[in-house]
Order: sequence, then structure tokens, then C-alpha cells
Amino acid sequence: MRLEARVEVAERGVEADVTVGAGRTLALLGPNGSGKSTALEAIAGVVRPGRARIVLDGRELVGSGRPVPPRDRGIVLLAQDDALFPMSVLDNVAFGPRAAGRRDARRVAEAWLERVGCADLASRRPGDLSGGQARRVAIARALAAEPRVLLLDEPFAGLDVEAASAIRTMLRSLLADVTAIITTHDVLDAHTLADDVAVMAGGRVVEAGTATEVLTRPRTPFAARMAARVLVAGTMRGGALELEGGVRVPVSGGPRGGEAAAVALPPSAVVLAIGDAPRDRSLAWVPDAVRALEPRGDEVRVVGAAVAADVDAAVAASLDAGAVVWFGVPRGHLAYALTG
Amino acid sequence: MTGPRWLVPLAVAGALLVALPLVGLLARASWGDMWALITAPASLQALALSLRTSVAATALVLVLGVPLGFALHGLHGRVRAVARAVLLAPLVLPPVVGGLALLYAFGRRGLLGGPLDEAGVSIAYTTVAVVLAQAFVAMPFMVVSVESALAAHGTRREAIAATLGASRTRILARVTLPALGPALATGTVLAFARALGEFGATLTFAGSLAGVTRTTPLEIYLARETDPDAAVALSIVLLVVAVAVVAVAYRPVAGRAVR
Repeated sequence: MRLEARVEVAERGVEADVTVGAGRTLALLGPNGSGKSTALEAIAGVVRPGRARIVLDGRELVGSGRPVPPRDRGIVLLAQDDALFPMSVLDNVAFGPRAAGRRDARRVAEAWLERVGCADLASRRPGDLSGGQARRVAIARALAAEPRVLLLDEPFAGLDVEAASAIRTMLRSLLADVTAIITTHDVLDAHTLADDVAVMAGGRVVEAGTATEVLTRPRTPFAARMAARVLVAGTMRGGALELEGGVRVPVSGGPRGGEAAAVALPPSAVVLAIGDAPRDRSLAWVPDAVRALEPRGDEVRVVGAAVAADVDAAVAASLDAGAVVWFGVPRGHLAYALTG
Repeated sequence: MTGPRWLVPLAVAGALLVALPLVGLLARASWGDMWALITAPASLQALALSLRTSVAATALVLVLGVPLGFALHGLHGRVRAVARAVLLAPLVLPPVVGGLALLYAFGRRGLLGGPLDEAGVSIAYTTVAVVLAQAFVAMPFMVVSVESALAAHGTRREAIAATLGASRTRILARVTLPALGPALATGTVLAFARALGEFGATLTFAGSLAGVTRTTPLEIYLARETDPDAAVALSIVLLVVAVAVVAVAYRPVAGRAVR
């Protein structure tokens, strides 16, 4: 089932355009408040989009004519709050099959509960489940409805690390043949679960492509940031990337001379130096000024205008915004064209 | 205790105003004859009629009041304010006015009663009239319960249920109504209690025919001079029911949120 959707929810500032191929999983990657959830809810019909065009396998569900009601779309939303119904766990999972008039709804539900590892919870009420159990039940309920497209809204939100990683592993196999869209702010989810990635910012998709493309060769600083990379962009000149200000970073590959290109580095690969110009010739040194300091666990990301680096908290403690620093960019990274 | 101390004597006075009459009623009761008084034919007849009509009225309130609560919830702005004011008027309307109004709607010369009468159907001064009077005064309790519960409940689960392929009827039956359970229970109990105690509208619209329209409150009113002991005994029955109803309907909602 190939899904093409363009939804506009003006009051939440969302105008998103997403496409997911049959049997593939698309990750909508973006920070909180970027409109990912709203986009999913609009596609599922949980919120009514101002304007929308939703095409599933060539059939227009929403568009010029009367919209197909949510219950006939075959697009199931797994909400962040699980939204389990006030009935037993088994009845929750059997809800979809029963709505479809299946006589074996109970058996189908039992089979799905088995697959998500919750067979022993069948007679429980939603209020008696842990967060991880409730999420598993919600996943079973969504899949038991045999969705043509499954929308998962931050499926690991609000779970402890252990439950999240167990469910991540489970979803990886469950989503193998399902056409799905998953929203997340965590690049790890995009890496492990998605075939394709669309980066959202301010209610819009700013970059889309295969997971490899977007996560390892981002085109915008924002997408790079979501992919936990530092985008060093410039112009190709004779085997090196020439940055604004004239610093040359030797790279491998890359487009023809004169074209815009970039390398995407893990911030931990960039070295930070303070004071006089460093002498170490194995790195290309970029002079920059500190724009922001972002604490990340036991490290601090020092963000400059052109480059960023993760450094030890003790080093970052001596820095303020505006401080002059040198970023040491390793040579020889693979460059790629930014145009086209 | 919060608040300044001078609230205390006022609170005591208020408690006395409510509790003293109840104590007075209990003190006046001839406890030795209580069972005999309650099981006397006239008393039993009135109690049985009250029970039958109140159950019927409560059923009517459930069948009509729940949809009415949904409809009210679906309205917006000024229309909703006006509709709510009209629908909830019986809460504060003097029951005798309600009885008069019912008479001009369903009575022999009423709006609907006239044509019905010509068709050979007479409502006023029948047991049906008792049920209508009771439903008239009890309806607002159900409407208010349902409407406020719907407002607090939101529509998210319903929307999710729709994506799972459920029809509106299935969503109503399996998702919405179960979630409204506590509100429906409260509405039902309050409506039943209000129906059981109905006096003014019943007397005006249905009269006081023994075994047909003479419910327990009417029997109490009639017996208070001829047979005060019986009146007190029946009053105590209604008092016990009232206290039980309040205990059930107004217990603090247990914090078992549905996840």
C-alpha cells in the first residue's frame, strides 16, 4: 500500500507532505512541537485537516470529493497515550476484528497478544497495566485491525529505557511487511526502524529521502542536527571543501569543483582547541565563535557558526557564547553534493 | 477546619436546621408498630405504586435523557445556553407549575392531549400521568450528568476507535457509554430518588386516586391528619431511601482513571 498524503492543519501551523512506499516504514523525525503528531492525526482522521489530499494505493481517500470516513480508510493510529478502551485487554485487541465482523475475533486477538508477549494479561483492565504493557497491548490492538497503513506516534515515549528497547526490538520484526509511518525525535529509532526518513521542522517536511541518504548525507543543518551529525558545508575546490572564510578541508569523493558540497560528521569526531592557531596538520582547523553550549549527558556540545563538537564538560566550562575557538575537522571524509 | 472561628456557630445552626427535623420525625415514630404501619393495605398500595412508577419513570429518563445529554453536548454557544436553560428548568420550577404545564400539554384539553383524547386515549389522572410527571421532574438530573461527563471525557478514544474500523453505534455502545458508566449511575439514582419523592406535579396532573395515582408522598400528605403514625412510618421509609441514594450518588469518585 503506497500512501501519499498532504495535510494542512492551519491552527497548529502544520502543512506536511509525506509519502511512504508499500511495505516500507517512514520515520517522521523532528523535535517536539514540530507537528509530527498533528500530521499523523490528520492522516488518520483523528483531527480534521483544513485541507488535505490523501491517496492510498492510487485511490483518493481525501481530496476533491467527500472524504472517506476514518473507519473506512484502513489507516490505524497508535496514539502516544495508547487510548485503550474501558474493557478487558482481550476485548481491546479484539475491537478491530469485531468491528470488521470477524467471527474469530477472539482467536485473532489471542494470537496478537501472544505475539506481543502479553497473553497472560488478556483478562486485565487497562488501568492495571504498566506503561510498557499498555503500549504492547495498544500495538496488538492496532495490528489486529489489519491496517493498510499503521501510524505510530512516538511509540517509545514515556517508557523506561528497558521497556522502550524491548518494544523497539519487537516493532522491528512486526513492522517488516507493514506500511507504516513512525514519528520520533530520536535518530536511533529512525536508524533501527525506518527505510525512509522525513525531517520535520515548524510543521513542514524540510528534508526527505531514504534513511541512509537523510541520516548520513543530510542537506540542511537542521536535518543534520536531527541525525546527530555536524554538517560542514562549502564549495568543492580541487579535492577539498572550501568553507566560507577560506579554510580548506581535504575530503574524499565529492562533486565537481565549484559545486556546493558538504561532509556530515559525528560531533565526537571534531576536535576543539582554544587559544592560538593549533599546529596539528592532520586536521583542518576552522576558526569559529561559540554560538551555544548544549549539555548532553557527560559531554557538552559546543556549537559554532560553521561546525560543532562534543567536548568534556570541564573544557566547556571555560567557554562562553561568543568565545573564539578552533574546530579541528578530520581530513578525508566523504563529501557529497548539496544541490540537485 | 479551615476558615475563621466564627463560622463554627453558623455551621452548627445550619446543621441543626437540617438535622433537627429529621430527628423530630424519628422521635415521633411509634417504632413498635412500624412494621404493621408500613404493611397496612393503604401503605403497601402506595409504596408499590411508587416503586412501579418510579422505576418506569427512571427507565424513561434513561432512554430519553441520555440522547438528550448527547444532543445538548453537541450544541454550541448561545443555542446550547438556551436549550440547557429550557431542559433544566424542571430542576428549579415549582412542581405544581410543572403539573399545570403537563396538564395543558397532555390533559384532556391539552396541546397533545386533545387529539389523543379524540382518539380514545386519556392520560391525565392515570398511572401513565404519574410516570410522565415523575419523568418531567427527574429528566434534568440525567441530562446534566451525561452532558458534564461528555464534556470531561473528550472525544479522543472515539476517534481512535473509528480508525480501528468501528461504526458510530459500536463506538457509542463499547467505548463512550462504558466510560460514562459512573455518570449514568449517578444520573439514574438521582432521577429515581426525585421520581420517588414527586408530589406537586403528580397531584396537579394525576390527582390522588388510591392504587392508580396515589403515590407514597400523596399517601403521606393524606394520612398526616387521619393517621399520623402511618404518615410518619411511610416518611421514614422515604427518608431511608433518600439517605441511601445520597450515600451512593455523592460518594467521592474513586481515582481509578481509565488508561
